[in-house]
Amino acid sequence: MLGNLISGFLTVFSYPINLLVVFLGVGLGAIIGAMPGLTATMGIAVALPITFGLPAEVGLTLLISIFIGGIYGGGIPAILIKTPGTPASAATIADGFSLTKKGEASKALGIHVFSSSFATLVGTFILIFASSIIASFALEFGAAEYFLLSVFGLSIIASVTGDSLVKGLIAGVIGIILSTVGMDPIVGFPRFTFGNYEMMQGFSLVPALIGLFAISQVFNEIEDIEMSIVKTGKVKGGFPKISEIKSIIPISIQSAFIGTFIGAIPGPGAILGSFIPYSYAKKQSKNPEKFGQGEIKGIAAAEAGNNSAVLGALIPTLTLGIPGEAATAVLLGGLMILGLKPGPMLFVDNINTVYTVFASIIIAAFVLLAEGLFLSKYMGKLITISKKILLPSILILCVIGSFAIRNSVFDIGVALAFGILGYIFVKLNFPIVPILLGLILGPIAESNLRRALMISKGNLNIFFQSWLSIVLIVLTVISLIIGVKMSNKLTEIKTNNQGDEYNVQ
Amino acid sequence: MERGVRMDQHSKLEIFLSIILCLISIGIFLMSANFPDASGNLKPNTFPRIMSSLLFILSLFLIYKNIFKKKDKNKVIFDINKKEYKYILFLIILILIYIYLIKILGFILTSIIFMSILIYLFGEKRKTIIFIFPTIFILALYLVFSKLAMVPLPQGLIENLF
Repeated sequence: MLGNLISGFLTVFSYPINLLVVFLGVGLGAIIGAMPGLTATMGIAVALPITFGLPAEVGLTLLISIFIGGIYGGGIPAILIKTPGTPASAATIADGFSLTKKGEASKALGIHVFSSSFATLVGTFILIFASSIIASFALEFGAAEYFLLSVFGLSIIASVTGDSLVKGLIAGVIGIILSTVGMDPIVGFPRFTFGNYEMMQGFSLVPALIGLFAISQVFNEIEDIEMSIVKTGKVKGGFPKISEIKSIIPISIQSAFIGTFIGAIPGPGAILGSFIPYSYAKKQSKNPEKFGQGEIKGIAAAEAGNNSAVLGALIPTLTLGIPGEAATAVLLGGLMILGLKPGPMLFVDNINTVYTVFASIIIAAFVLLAEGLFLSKYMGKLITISKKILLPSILILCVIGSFAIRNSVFDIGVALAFGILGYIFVKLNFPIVPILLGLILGPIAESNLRRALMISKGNLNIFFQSWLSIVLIVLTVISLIIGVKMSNKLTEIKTNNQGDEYNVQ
Repeated sequence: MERGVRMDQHSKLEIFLSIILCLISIGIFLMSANFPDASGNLKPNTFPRIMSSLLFILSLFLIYKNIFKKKDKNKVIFDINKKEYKYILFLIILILIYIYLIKILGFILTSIIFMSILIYLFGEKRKTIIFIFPTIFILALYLVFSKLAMVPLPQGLIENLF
C-alpha cells in the first residue's frame, strides 16, 4: 500500500500534467460549485468530454478534483448569500451566513477552506486504507458474486428515493429497461432497436448522464431565470488565525471521520455527510446555543463533513463499481470512458493508475487550501454571473459532451431525451438517481445472472455457495434497512429546512 | 388562487404518467415475444419481460395510491407559470432544430446562432453580449476541444476551412 503510494507520487511529479490537472480541476470545480444552480455533479458531467483524450489517471484525477472543488465551492454562496451552491452545503448556511451578517465573511470563508481541505486529506487516507482492504477480495468474485453485487447496488434505490418507494422502484425499473436496448449480452440479438443502426450498441452512458443531470438542470433553472441577482459585499479573504485553527482542529478531525463513514454508505451521502457531523458537534459542544449564530465550529463541522463524504463516496464507487449518489454515478461513467473497469478488479488490473490518482488527491487537498485562500476574494463576483449567459453556455458544453463520445449526432438527441425525462421526473417528485443505477447495474445484473445460471446448469444454489455471496446477501438486507432509515432522516431534514434547494440530484 | 400546480392537479399528472408507463410496459412485453429462443436457462426476452411486468404492477400501484390519497387543494407542489412552460417547450424545439442543422452547418456556425438566439430570448438586451460573447466562446471551445484535446466535433462549412 505504502510502496504503491510512493510510486504514485513519483509518477505525479515526473508527469507535471497531473499537477496541472489538479490545479485546474479544483479551481474549476470551486467556481462551478460556487454558482448557485450549478452542482458538482453537473461540473463532472460537462467535464467528461475533456477527459476523452487524456491518459486514464490524468482524466480520473481531473474528475475527482472537480468533485472536491465543487463541494468546497458550494459552501461559498451558502456563506455569502444564504444559498447553497450545492445541496451538500445546506448545513453551512446557519453559521456561515450569520457571520456574513456580522461583517465577518472573510473569517467564515477562511474557516471554510481550512476545514474543507483538512477533511479532504483525512478522507483520502481513509479512502486509501479502506479500498485496499476491500480490493484484497477482488479475486474471489465470480459470475454469481457479480450478480449479487449488482443486486446490492440496486438495493440503494431504497435510500435515494425519499418519500415514495414506489416512485424510486419505477425509476429503477425504467433504467434497467432502457439498459436492455441494444444487443443482448450473451447471444447478441438486437433488442428494442426499431431497426435503427445507432441503437444497436444501446444508449451510451455519457449522453444519458449529461441529459439526466445537466440538461434537466438547465430546464429547471430556466424557471427562475428572471430571478434578480443578489449582490455580495466586499470580501477580503485571508488565512484564519492560529487560535481559530486550533479550536476547530478536533471538530474537523471528528467530522472528517463521521463524514467519510457516512459518505461511504451508498445513499444520500453528501447531504447527510454535512448534517450529521454538524448536529453531532452541536450536541457535544459546551455552548450548543451558539450553533446557528455564527459559531466557527459549526462551519468547520459541516464543511469538513461534506468534503470528507466525497472521499467516502469514492470507496464503494471505485472498489465495488457501485455509485452511492449522483456525482459518483457520473464519475463512474467517466471511469468507463477512460477504459477503467470500476469494481474489485480495478485494484488488480490498474493498481498503478489508482495510486497515482490517490497521490494526486492528497496534493489536491493542499491545492484546495491555496486556491481557496486566493480565490475567496473573487468568489463573490462569480456568484453574480447572469444565468442568461450561463445556461446557454452549459447547453453547448452538453452538446459537445454527448456528441464526442461516439462522434454521433444521434447521441445529442439521446441526451435531450434523457434531459426531458429527468425534468419530468423531478417535477413529479420521482428520484433520478435510480434511473442511472438501473442503466449502469442492469446489464451487469443480467449478463452475470445468465452466465451464473449457465455455469450451474440452472441450479440456484450457485448464489449461496461462497462466503462472499453470503456477505453480499447480508449487505443487501442491511442496505435496505439502513436505506429506508436514512431516507426518512433526509425527508426530516428537508421538511425542517423546507427547501426546494435541497433537491437531491 | 396561488399560481403553480396544486396537489390535486399533481395527482392527475401522476396518474397520467402512470397510464403511459402501463401502456409502455405492455408494448415492451409484446415486442419481446418476437425475440428468438436461445439455449440456456434465461433467454434474451426473460429480463425485459420480468422488468416490464414489474413496471406494469408498480404503475398500477401508483395509480391506486393517487386515487386514494388525501389531496389538499390549496397545497402547491411546484411553481411553474405559463411563460416558463413556454420557455422550456420552445427550448426543446430549438434544440431539435439545432441538432438537425449541426449536421449540415457544423458545430461553429450552428452553435453561435443557437447561443445568440437563446441569450436574446432569455431577455438579454445588450447587443455586444448577444453577438460577441457567443462568437468568442464558441471559437474558444472549438480550439480547446478540437485542436488541443483532440475531441471530435460536428464538421461543417467553417470547420472545413481550417
